[in-house]
Amino acid sequence: MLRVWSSIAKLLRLWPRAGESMSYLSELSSLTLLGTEHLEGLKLDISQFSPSLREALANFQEENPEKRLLAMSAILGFYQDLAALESPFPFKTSPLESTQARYCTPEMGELIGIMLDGYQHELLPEALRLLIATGQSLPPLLLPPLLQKAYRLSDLRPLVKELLEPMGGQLAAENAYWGYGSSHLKTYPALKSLWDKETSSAKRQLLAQLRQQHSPYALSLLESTWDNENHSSRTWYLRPLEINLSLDDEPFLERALDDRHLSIRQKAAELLSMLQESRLSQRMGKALREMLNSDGDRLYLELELNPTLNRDGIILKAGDETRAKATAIEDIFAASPLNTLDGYAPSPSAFLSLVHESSDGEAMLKGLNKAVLRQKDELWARAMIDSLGLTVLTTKLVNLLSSEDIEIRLALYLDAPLGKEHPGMRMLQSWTKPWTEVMVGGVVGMLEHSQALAQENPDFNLRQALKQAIKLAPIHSLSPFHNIFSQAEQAGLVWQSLAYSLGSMLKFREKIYLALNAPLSKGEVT
Amino acid sequence: MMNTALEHQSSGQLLCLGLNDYSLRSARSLANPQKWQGLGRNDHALWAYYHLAADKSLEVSLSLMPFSLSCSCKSPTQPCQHSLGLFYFYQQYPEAFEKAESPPWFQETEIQTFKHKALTEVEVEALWQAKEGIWQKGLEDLERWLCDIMRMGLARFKDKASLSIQQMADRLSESHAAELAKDLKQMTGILAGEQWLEPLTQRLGRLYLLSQAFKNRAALSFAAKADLYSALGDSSHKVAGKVIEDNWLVMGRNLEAQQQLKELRIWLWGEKSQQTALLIKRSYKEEKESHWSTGAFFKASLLFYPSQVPLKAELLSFDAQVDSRANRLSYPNFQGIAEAHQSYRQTLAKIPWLKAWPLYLGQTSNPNALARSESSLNCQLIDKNWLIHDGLSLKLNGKFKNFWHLRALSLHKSLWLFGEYDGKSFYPLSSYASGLVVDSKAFKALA
Repeated sequence: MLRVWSSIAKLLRLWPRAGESMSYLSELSSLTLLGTEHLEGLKLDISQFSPSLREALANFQEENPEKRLLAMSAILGFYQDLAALESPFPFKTSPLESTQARYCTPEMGELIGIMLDGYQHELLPEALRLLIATGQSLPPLLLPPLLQKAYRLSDLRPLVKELLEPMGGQLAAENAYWGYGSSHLKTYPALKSLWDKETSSAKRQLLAQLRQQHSPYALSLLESTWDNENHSSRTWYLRPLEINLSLDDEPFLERALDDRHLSIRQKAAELLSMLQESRLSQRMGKALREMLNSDGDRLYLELELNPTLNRDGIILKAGDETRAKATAIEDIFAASPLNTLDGYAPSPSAFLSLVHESSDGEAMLKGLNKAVLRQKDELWARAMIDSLGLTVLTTKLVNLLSSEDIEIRLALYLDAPLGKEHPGMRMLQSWTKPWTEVMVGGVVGMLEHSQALAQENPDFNLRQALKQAIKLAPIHSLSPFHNIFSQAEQAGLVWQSLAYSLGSMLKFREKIYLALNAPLSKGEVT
Repeated sequence: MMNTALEHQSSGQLLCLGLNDYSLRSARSLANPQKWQGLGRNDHALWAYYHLAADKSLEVSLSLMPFSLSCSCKSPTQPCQHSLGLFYFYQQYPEAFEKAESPPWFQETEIQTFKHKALTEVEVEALWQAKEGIWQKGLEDLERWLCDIMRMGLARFKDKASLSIQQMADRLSESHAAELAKDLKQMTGILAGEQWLEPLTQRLGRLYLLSQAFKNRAALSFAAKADLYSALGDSSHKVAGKVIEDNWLVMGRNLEAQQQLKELRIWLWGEKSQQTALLIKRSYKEEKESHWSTGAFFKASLLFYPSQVPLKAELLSFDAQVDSRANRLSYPNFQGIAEAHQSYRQTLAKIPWLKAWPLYLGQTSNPNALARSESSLNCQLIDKNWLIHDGLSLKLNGKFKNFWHLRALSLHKSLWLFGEYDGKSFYPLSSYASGLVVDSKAFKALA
């Protein structure tokens, strides 16, 4: 036994020979698989083995065939493990682009890590923007979780891509799911092979990525399997086309209008109606002009539901006749270019006055609301809010207004009691763009003067508006909230809970700015 | 002092205890002022009551020097979410903790040390002789069992392997060879894999080698016998080892569960002695041993078990935790793969029963350097296998999941890794950068 072991020890000290076969153990295993009962004269041919290995095996004088097999298993096992390391690494190390990365502070890295875990994750986009604005990079260990996060949350992708170049870009290019983070676009055949084997969820992510990188590839991939997809997948895949939507997509979307499933036709029509020059928009505009008349005081609709409208996603049979008519009006208004209405009244406000007098006004307003959102028309948004006030319908339009507009409107609400359904809070809770100092001042003033903390629990609008302020207002304007939150801790339970959650968010935001450790000019991050 | 020390105890350090993101997330939600009462602190600890119900609260504390967390709840997972919640609460509201007398229930952390009388080699030999008869019986059974398998062939053995292995393992346990029995049970895992034939052949060969070594024990030195008997599961010889007093840096931790028994392997590196030590903690509870977090640095005396290559050790005395950033003067000697593997081979030549060998992989120059060269340690995905390489390559262990983090690190600079090598693959336990040891479990999970 000792002789055997000294031979093994010698083997272990020696390097197995370059290029030597590593199949010895495999050959021996074919014998152990059968067992000595069935070998009948079969034995391992060791003449091809290296001299040191032959020596190790020859040293073992075991008569018993089972023990001989066991000893050889031990020796060849050791030998194979060592030989596995012996082959030189045959691949070239990928060259690293020369970069002088300026890493963020460890404190900032830790805060980003916490947000990637899910805590205060709503502040992650701002933190990434701050890093970009100050030319700082993330430490390498945070790149994989960030890339994975943005794979799931497509809104983060442009920020992540900007932050990553060049090092993260290379990392992103190596992972099939993180391609959005790389400027290096895969070849079409490579993308096609990925497309053909991926799940529908991953395909949708890939589409969204390619819409940002190279729209024609996205469209080609979609077209390549369109006819073989089921209808829910087809509807699902149309959504990413909203990204960088252009008239180049029109031929494909027109083809989708021929689909026999209404949900697909509706989604395609919605996308085409976002392009005012599209043929569908023109068709809808023409249909609207043909059915809509005005005598100067009221609007009259002579609705003739042409079956061809069904192709353009218009629902022609929805319940009873009244409902069918209302649905069709809403759909036609929603898909028509807003400039179609220029001939009926001198301004959007004047047109809306006519709508109010019309018997089909409600359906028209619903359709108009959708059209304003799709076409992102600020003038119409302002007119709708002025005309209808802030209702469930119009709150979605708030983000189309300018910040100056919001400030002016807020000033009008300053004296309104800060009770339930405060119109200013309803407006601000829907405002998801950066807040101005004037907006913060308005909210702080209202809170301080209305004694809201002493009165009652905050309603949903107020809670959401405060959250938006803490999340979106310039950090230097938020100091009055520390005082407000400490007062709120003495108020009712709902106020206490709100003060805790928003106070934590504010503190976390402040920590981000402190950890940034870099000068930041006012308004640099928006 | 408290503030400064606690600032160093970043959330990342909690991750170094092997806590998952879910535990940390749920703990963060407890950092709410409404839930904590009776807050207090002294120079090296803080405590509070966590409010559960009207007349029910938990006693929670956090202690430094050494770092430890405790709570009066009965959660099987330690540290529990309440003690982690206290940590986060302190991070967010440090001003809420005022200096006070510690409450009666608060106890300073006491680290368990090894308290046994030292024996001479002769006394240990006598102990062994008393056991050798029992071991011999078990190992003779093992040899017969191995020969039977070789006779019938592995194809036939596979059909009834599970029961047969269990029976043989029970016989070895009865023969006081618990460690060997554990090794044997691991063969069922090999049989469950797709590629089972070669690994099983190899494993059976090594068991045979061990049984033959036992037959020839009379010719072995004391240290070689200690290694052999340690592979059987004996620990009576450990009291006869050498003692090293040093500043020890925790290089990494690996928790492995074998059925209900959890084995925590803690790897230490001695600053003056340049000696690597392995502390093994076995427990049926999920003890996190929070004072042994990766990157912790402390002054202590360790007793090394006798061995041809001393590695396993016991803690004899724990003197003080040291701030590693301010007080550490040197760093481990990182090596290229060829050099590191040579040290593995040399050790294997002495101890063929070696299971995990510590590798410090990286360029031999200063690990604080950022530059990357052709021979730098790199991590790359090749043909669906993750490898680390520097001209030669090692496979990453399949259980290691944070390979994309290593890839990201290696794109930025050369890697400096510490981990366990089992002869086939490398399991990274920590990476070394800018003077800090970062536990590989602290890498954020890819959700």
